[in-house]
Amino acid sequence: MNLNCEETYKRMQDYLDRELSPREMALVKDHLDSCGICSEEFEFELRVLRKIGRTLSDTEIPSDLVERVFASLGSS
Amino acid sequence: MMADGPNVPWAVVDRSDFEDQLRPVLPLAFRFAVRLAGDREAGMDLVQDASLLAFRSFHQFVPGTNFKAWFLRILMHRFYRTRQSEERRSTVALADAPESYLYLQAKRIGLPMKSDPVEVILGKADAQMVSDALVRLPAEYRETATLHFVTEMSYAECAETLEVPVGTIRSRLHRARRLLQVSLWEIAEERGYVPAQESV
Ligand SMILES: [Zn+2]
Repeated sequence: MNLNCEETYKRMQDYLDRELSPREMALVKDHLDSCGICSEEFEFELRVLRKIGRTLSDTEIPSDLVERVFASLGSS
Repeated sequence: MMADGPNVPWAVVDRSDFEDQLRPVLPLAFRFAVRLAGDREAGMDLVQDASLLAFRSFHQFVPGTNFKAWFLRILMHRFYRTRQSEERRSTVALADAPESYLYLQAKRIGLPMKSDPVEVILGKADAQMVSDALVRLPAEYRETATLHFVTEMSYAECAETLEVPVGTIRSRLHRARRLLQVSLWEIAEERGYVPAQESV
């Protein structure tokens, strides 16, 4: 079985999140390996998601985080 | 309702057991709290409040289940409790958020795909800009997207944390990303990072 462009596109978000079954992951990858149009768009989406994820996670962790939180539990 | 009495359950839970479970979750919880609450100070307050609440409710935690999801759920409840009166307003139109919006815009303004078109559009985007873009989303989309982006948890774990079905996480997340792309483009236009759309 092979996926066409539309069937591949419908699976794009789940594929990028690795939320498809192994078989479906392989089917999407097969299509992307052979279709420049879809792979260009997938690559773009992947970069957007990575950029957003990195930006939102770019928070420096205070070195005393654990100590401060544990202290706030009180001395009970 | 928290019952107070001479033999409150939280007084007898094993504190070191609680701390052992909490410790590895704290960095991630802090990152998430900062994004949820808006800044580092508010994020720290939120993590501390949630930790105390979780400690007092630790007797309700079922050993062997997902502590991270349980703790983040408490953290979100705590956040919304303090934000109850805040008006949650979204400005991005839900109805017509197209698929692959940024990709289509990149094509429209003629960015070469061989270079790094995402860098052209989002290169200047900092955490504040992405947060500003998220604020324009309806609350349930914003919280789902923030949770997934910051924690990188699976759909199933996000579902457990937010206490909604996996299918709901999937559809909210996919929708949230479409809306977020529209919203990011709007801000990039407002800031002059990309050429504004000519009026037709
Ligand atoms: Zn294709």
